Amino acid sequence: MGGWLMRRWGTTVGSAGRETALVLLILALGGTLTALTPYFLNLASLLNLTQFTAVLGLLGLGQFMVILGGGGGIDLSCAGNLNLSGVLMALLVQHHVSTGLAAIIAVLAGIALGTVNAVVVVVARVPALIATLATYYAYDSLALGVSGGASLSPFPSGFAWLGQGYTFGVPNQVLFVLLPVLVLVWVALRWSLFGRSLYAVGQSERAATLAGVRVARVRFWTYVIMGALAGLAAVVSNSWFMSATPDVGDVYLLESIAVVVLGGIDIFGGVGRASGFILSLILVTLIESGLQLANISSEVQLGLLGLVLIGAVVINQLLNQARFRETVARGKARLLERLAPKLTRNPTTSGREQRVL
Amino acid sequence: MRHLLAVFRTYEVTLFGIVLLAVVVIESVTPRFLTTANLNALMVSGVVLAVVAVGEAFVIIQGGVDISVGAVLGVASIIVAKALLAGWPPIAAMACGMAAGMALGSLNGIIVVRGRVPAIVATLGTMSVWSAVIFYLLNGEWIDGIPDRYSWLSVQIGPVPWVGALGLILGCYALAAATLSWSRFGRQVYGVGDSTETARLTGIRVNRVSFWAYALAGLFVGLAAVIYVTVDANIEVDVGTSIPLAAIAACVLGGVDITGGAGNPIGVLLGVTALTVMENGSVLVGVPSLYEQAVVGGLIIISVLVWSVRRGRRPAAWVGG
Repeated sequence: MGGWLMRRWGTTVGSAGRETALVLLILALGGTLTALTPYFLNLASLLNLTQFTAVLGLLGLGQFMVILGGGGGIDLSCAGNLNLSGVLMALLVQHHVSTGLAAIIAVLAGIALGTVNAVVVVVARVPALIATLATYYAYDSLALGVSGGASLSPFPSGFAWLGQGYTFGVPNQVLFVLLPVLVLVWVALRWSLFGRSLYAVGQSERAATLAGVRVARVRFWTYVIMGALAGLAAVVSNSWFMSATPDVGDVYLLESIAVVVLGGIDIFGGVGRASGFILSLILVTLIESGLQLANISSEVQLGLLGLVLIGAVVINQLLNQARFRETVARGKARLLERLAPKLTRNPTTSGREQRVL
Repeated sequence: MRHLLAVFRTYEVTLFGIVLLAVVVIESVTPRFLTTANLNALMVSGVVLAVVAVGEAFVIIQGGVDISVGAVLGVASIIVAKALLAGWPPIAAMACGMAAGMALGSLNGIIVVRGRVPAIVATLGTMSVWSAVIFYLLNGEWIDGIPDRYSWLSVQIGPVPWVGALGLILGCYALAAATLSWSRFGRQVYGVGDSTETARLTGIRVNRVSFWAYALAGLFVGLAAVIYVTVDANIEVDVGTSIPLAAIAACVLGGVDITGGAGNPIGVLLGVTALTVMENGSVLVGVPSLYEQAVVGGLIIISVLVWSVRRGRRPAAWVGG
């Protein structure tokens, strides 16, 4: 029994440890913010805060899946995708296209842009880094050109419902967009063939291929899904600000990668849980609102987030080192032995020896 | 004779040919191309990029990437500018700028090597940090009226402007070429870029080589900062934002393998030339300047594709597996 316990604890230390750390950080940060401003800790203001999670959450989810697929997968163009799709939607509405139809076209545009990435990275085998860097600048530049560099605000006031409205106190963009997508992705990753294939591909491309998984197809779809989510995020962003700016998404590139890395997702793929992602999303949003509260400008916020990103990866790498894990495991074993000596009697000898004797 | 002719089949000669062709085509379409004024504009946009690109080449050849070069350029330029405005001798200002660049480059190196952070994430992080620093230092304004203490850079001989800068660039590239081709460090850079594990097994100190590649890139960026404040007598908050992509594009165009292990400075110089000519030409021909980056992005993808084919990397079978 003791052996069973030890083995269970040993295998969960990696992931549960990460989530525990995140929850503790969230509580610590929440506590600090409550101390700083007494209006923080009430349900209404907390729910109000969630509006900042929608766009970031959507982009982060896409990034999550692309990075999970491994092979150096990353999508640096998600911000450019958001910019371009958002600007396209605004232009359509300006030309008397109904908002609903324009929104659908924006998502389709996102899918198209994501598919370009998919083709270049997966089919043409251009390294994701350079490919999505190039498409980022291309999409960003197109967004600038198409919008003339200006902010476009042609949306009818009814459109604000999505980004600025609340239902039961929860922002609509969270309730009707982010949450359903989150649930969908969580279910897909856990229970669908695609999800399991994705994890397999990320952990070992070779093993996955030998097991019959179509690596290229799986990775291809991650970029397409990322594009769709970027298009969706563009719609939400347009509604939130009631305008489309060609550089509104730029800040989200760094943030989306930071959310993924903080959430315990390995930058090389194959490792990462949706629960970690969600906690990390909450944490990053808290950090951003805390900084906002402290009146720190958005450029400096981004700088601090850069530091957080680097720190998160360094810590990740540290935790992943086999030597470190061994030390932790041994320390835990000794602690358990000291606290409950009866539980840790050697499992292999106890049963069999007694029988033999 | 066959050996002599073989040199014409190298990529660099092809690229040179393409550049010449582009020049001829642009000149025929709009005769404003080969004027001194336009050459001036060409040099202005090209000289800073040229120096940054050679540093970036070291980083890419050893298998990494550095997208923070623009932000580092910004910080170094502000330091040089402030030193000049405070009346420091130009040599001291130049030394400060280069030291700052090298320090920031070394920081990148430490994060990548010691922190084991993937280069893209590390330099993305440092880029945002230095951008915040630039924003904070400029404080909503911009620096202008920087005294021109490096007039030797902009000396003009005949119709060619910026001859001093050209000489500096050629010196940098000659140095880089010599280092990469003939020094042990240079060969180790190629080795590390080709395969880190194999390099480690052959006894190359991979960590050290990588670190110095990033530090060297920073040093070159510091030098570029000196050219930048001469070329552009004011510094605004978006300084250097288009540099990282252009530098990487120049390297890729010049035949540097983005996955590391291949490439040479002559190609990079040609890549810089090609990029500058095409950007300048596209503006002259009438492409709206807002679309410039899209052109650069497209160029990167095309040249990486061309190189993938040349290097024999076959595209993935269509998603069938």
